[in-house]
Amino acid sequence: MTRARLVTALAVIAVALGGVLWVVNDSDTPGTTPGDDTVMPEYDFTIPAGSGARIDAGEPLEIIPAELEVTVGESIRIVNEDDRGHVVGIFYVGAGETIVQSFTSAGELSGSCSVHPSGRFTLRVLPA
Amino acid sequence: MRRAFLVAAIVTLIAACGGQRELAGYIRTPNPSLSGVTLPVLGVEGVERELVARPDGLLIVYFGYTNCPDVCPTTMQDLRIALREMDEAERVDVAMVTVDPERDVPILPDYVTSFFSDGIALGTDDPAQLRAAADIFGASYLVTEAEDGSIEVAHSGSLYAVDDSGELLITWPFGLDRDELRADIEDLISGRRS
Repeated sequence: MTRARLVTALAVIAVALGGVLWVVNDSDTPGTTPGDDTVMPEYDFTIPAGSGARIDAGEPLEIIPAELEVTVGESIRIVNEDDRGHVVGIFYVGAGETIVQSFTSAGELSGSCSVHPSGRFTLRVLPA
Repeated sequence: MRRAFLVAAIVTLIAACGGQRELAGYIRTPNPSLSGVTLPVLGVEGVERELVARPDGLLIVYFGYTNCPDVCPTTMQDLRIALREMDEAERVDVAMVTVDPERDVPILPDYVTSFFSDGIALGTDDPAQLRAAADIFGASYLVTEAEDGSIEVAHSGSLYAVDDSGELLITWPFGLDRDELRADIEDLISGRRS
C-alpha cells in the first residue's frame, strides 16, 4: 500500500468514527462534550454546595426526583459539590465526588435519599 | 510493514471507540482511600486488618449482620457463585464487617467461612471505629431495639472492591445480576479501572 492509500484509509476511518460521534452528539444529552470524548449520561444531577446546611436548616430540597424511570443502556451521573456525603437511593456520593452508573439490567432499586423531602429515591430500570 | 501499521491503527481506534462492556457497579471519583484504615479480625485475638487488598489482588468488602434474613445471605451467596465461576478467584479476598457487633462478634467468623473458606470476619465494639470505616465506603446502618425488645437492623447492602493500594475501586448496589458482578470482578482483576 502506498503512503497516499494509507493516509486515505486512515482518513476514511477517522471520518467514519467522527460520524458515529456526530450522531451520538446530535441531541441535547446524552452526547459527547465538545472537545472531549466523554459520553454524557442521560440523567445528570448536581448536589450544590451548601445543600447539607440547607437541609439542616429545615429547607425541603428536591435536588433528585423521588422516582426516576430509566432504560437499560442509559446512565446517570451525580455530582456532589457539597461538603458532606449524600445517600441517593442505592448510591452514595461522597463530598466533592462524582459517580456515574450505567444501567445494565432491568429492575427496581429503592433506598433512602438525603436530597429529597420524601427521604426516598426509587429507580426503575426498564428493559431496552 | 505499512499493512501491519494500518491493521494496528484500526484495532487501536476500534478499541478506543467502543466494544468495552459497561461496568455494572459505579465508581466514585476521586476514589476514596482505605489506606491505613483497620478493623479487628474476629476470631484472632489482637489482630487488626487493613482494608487493603493483597499485592496484585482485590479485597471485596461487605457490611452486614448474621441475623439478616435476606439481603446479607443473598449477597454472600451471589458473590460466592460469582467467584466460583471466574478464573483467578484466588486473587480475590472477601471480608464481611458486622454492623451488629453486639450479637455478631462471637459468631461472624463461622458465618463468613460458611460462604468463603478463607473469608475474613471483621468487627469492633468501638462504634467510632466502625463508623469511621463505614463512612469511607459510604456504608450506612442503624441498629435499634423495638418496643418488644427485638433488635432491628437497617443497613445498606452494597459490595465494595478495594485494590492493593487501598483505592476503593467500585461499589456494587444490592441486587445486581450475578453474571455482571462476576464480569466486573474479572475486569478489575485484569486491571480495568474505569
